[in-house]
Amino acid sequence: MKKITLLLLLILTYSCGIQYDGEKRLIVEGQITDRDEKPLSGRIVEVIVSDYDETDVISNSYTDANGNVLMIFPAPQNADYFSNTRISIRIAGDEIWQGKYLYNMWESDFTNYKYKLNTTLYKKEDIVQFNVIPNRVSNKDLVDVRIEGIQSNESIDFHPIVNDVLYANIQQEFKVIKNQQLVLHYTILNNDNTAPTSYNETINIGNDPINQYTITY
Amino acid sequence: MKKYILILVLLAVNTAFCQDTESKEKEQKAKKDFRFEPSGRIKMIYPIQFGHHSLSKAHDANIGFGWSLSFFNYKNFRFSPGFDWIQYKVTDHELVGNFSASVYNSFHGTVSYEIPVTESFSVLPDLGFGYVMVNQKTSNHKFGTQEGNEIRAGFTADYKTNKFLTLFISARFIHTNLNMETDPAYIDFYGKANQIQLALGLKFN
Repeated sequence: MKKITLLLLLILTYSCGIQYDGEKRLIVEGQITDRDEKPLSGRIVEVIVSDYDETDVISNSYTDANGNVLMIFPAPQNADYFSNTRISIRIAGDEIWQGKYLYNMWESDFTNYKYKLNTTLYKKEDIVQFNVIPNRVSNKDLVDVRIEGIQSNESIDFHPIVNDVLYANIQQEFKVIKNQQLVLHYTILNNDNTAPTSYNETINIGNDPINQYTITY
Repeated sequence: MKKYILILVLLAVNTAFCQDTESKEKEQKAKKDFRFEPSGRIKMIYPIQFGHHSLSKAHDANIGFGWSLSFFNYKNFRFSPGFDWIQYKVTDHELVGNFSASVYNSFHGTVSYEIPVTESFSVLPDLGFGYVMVNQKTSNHKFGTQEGNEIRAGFTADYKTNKFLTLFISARFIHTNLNMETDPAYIDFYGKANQIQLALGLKFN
């Protein structure tokens, strides 16, 4: 009975694993620099392939003295819209430097089998929070909020799910770089069949760790 | 008239006997040329990859193994189907990916010609063609298979120790073409390979 139970457990837990195409190679190459465009050496970069069940670190490397990195690895099969297999690139952070996570990538995000990873990393001490606070006082809707300025972009979703409800996707929290001028763009939907009104506000970001802007509509 | 008939019969009989003798000679000669001589070889392979390609620059070769069979000898020519298995340990994961080994499997056919030097020593130059599968793997996970073909040319030196057993060494150049899709700058790096293969083995007659 024990043997049968063990066999059943083995069958149940058996997984084929992520499938790879041994006859196709994908390439991640590029340079990692700081905000002054100086190369950052010794940064850990990983390429991760995952599906619902498994995760493989298919390649990992360190940036060289010039901040360059080159990783070549077998392409996962069916990393596309129709399957659950996805490719991610992770740049590890540490106590000084931010990390970055580029995720939900398909094979089609590689141009001619190559993804150019030219990225700027910021020191953690240079990153502050910018929050947009919606203050609804009428029958209007805030439908679009975005900022123009230097953001740390710690995680980038290559294929975000787009929600049908316009105001459900409003981003309210941004990680931005200290001591800069941002432009905040937002749109108010009037709900009385008149045209939506767009606004642009210039905002000064200083040294405060948390910065806020309230939109009253 | 009878005389003519008798002469014709004699000629016909004579001609018939002549043909019989010739065909028997041909048959005997053919039998000498084409012989059923089954033999098998097993070998240890030491591959030396060279040139600018993935197996050479991003792997270290381990000792491989191989075997081949041959059943017929035609005028000292032999055709031998065979199989080689060589495991290459990955040394540069950034160039090939995070797996531990690439296993080179070759199913090949070789035509060799035996040149006897002494009664117990002979040399066999050979030429062959093979189908190749390179499996990329760790101990419990596969990372895809690369297929292709190879051409091989080399020679074997046989030393016959007794009626049943022969020791041999061989040296062979093998050029491999593998299927590959990637950035054009890297097609040859992952799609071609060159190796010198040294081998030591036993032949069972």
